[in-house]
Amino acid sequence: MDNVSVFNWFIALIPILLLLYLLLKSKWGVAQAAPVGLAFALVSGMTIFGGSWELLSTEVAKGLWNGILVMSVVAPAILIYEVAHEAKAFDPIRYGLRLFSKNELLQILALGWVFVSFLQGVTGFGVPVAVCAPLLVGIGVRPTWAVIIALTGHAWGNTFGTLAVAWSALVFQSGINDPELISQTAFWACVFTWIMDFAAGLAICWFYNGLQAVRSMAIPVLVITLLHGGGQMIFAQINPTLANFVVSSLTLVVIFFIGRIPAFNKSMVVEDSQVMDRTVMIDDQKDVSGMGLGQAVVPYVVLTVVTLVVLMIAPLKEMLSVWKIGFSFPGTETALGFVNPPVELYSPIVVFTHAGTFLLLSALVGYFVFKRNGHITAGGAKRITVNLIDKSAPSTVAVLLLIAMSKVMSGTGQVEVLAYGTALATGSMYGLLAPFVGMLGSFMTSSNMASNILFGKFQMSMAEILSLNPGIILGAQTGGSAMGNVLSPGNVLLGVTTTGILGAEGEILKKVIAVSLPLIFLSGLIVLFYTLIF
Amino acid sequence: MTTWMKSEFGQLTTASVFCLLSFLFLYAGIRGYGKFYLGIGSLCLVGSMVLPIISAFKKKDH
Repeated sequence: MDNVSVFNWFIALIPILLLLYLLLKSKWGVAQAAPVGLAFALVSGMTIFGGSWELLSTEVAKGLWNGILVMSVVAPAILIYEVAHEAKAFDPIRYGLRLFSKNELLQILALGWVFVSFLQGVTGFGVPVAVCAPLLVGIGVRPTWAVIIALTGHAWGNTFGTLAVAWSALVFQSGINDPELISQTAFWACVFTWIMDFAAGLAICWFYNGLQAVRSMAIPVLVITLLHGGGQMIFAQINPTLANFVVSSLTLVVIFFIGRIPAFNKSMVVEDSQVMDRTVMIDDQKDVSGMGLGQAVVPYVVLTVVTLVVLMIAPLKEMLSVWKIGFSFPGTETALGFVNPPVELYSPIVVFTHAGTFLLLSALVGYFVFKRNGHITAGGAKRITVNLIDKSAPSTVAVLLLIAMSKVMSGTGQVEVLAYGTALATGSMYGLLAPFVGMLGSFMTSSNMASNILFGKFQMSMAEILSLNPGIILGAQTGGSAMGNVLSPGNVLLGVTTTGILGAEGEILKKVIAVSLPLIFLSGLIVLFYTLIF
Repeated sequence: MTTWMKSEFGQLTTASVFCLLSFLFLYAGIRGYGKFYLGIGSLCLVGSMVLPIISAFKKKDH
């Protein structure tokens, strides 16, 4: 990297600073802030980093395609919510949750920490936030808090969730093949993601009713985090691919039994909790819909079963993976020598194993089941379609331009300049910043896997150049990415779109930054002390 | 039409459509159909960037 200078580093930072300033200070939505960031990234990409018109067009087109892929998950996730909402399926779900436990906070933990983690273990790709945030709204949580809780609750599962795609990307990109080093990296990845998991459980309680809620839920939180974090630490050494799925499924069963313990089944409702919207009339004393819990959860059961069957049965997955839609892109190079190799099939949609397909199928099955049983009345389909367009059309520009901005930044070498510049400036203190580099990756790309692809090799090189333990540096990379996933405007967008509060991104970011940044800093301190001592 | 374009929903939805058009034209341009398509794609992209910024300033005025 011979194009790293203080000037270049600062210029590369400006699009991110602009984005954050507009979101947090000016209270703009991502839809409004992303074009400003993209405009600056395009101008600096052309003038300072030597990107040609063709290169910038290619990177924008790649970003827009990635954005279309994200929207192909968001839109069917909204559809599931709208179908369930139209059929009034949230009434029996609320009633069912009350049968599970009368403790309101335990209900929130069950959905916003345990179930969201289960979905992360199975599907990922934004589905957990897109599905669980509206579910939380359905049980009376304020939309902004629903997004914050779902984001915080699912983040720990990012590395080993979705059958460990992010972990595999880290191992592949960093080129580690020594079993001992892989095992050590898995250990550290689990340490950092466990920190995130434990903090998520505590944070959700804290959001609900401060220290009092933390105290009252201390035992369930400890049990769940031991299963989540501790279980993942053990299973990651045996089978990383299934580690997150196994422990998040196990926890889903265990929380059911926790809800049966008399101490946690007592009615506990904090009337003035900031998390809850008490203005919404919720009658959870009886199921007035006549639908029954079994029918109400049909779309979610279909989603889980279909995903599991397709992803776990290898021959079936292989057979369905034949149909792909993707585009080829030519190779490009900046005037400063940053190369983007040609891609034969860029980010293809594997039509029948795509998360969006599973969501769409679940929504359609839900619709027909509800319709057949008379829960969706005349005009229902029209109302669902109007609401779907209302929520998804305006957010499309936000998602597409945000990802285009990140692609322009990475394609013109700006992201690399940011990472290398930071590393060069810190030297042996680099350990402190290793998780922040992971965070930068997932902040820019909204994906733990993409962050590991972007920086896996870089982190390995830094560990070798600075003679630091590669296991902890790579663990911090993926741990920081998982924590940074919470801060990613793209992921926040998923939540605000599906809960219908587009424009509230800044408000949500402020809250999740307060949870995530201290944890990334703590992880950095752990890495720093470990690398200085050992 | 005027009312539609004055609303935030209308502006963002139109910008979303511009975004999708921009992808199609840019890709055609990249794949060698000529600079004309790159130009149209870039114009669509500019349109998709300008409309949300206008909506932000309008919201601020209100």
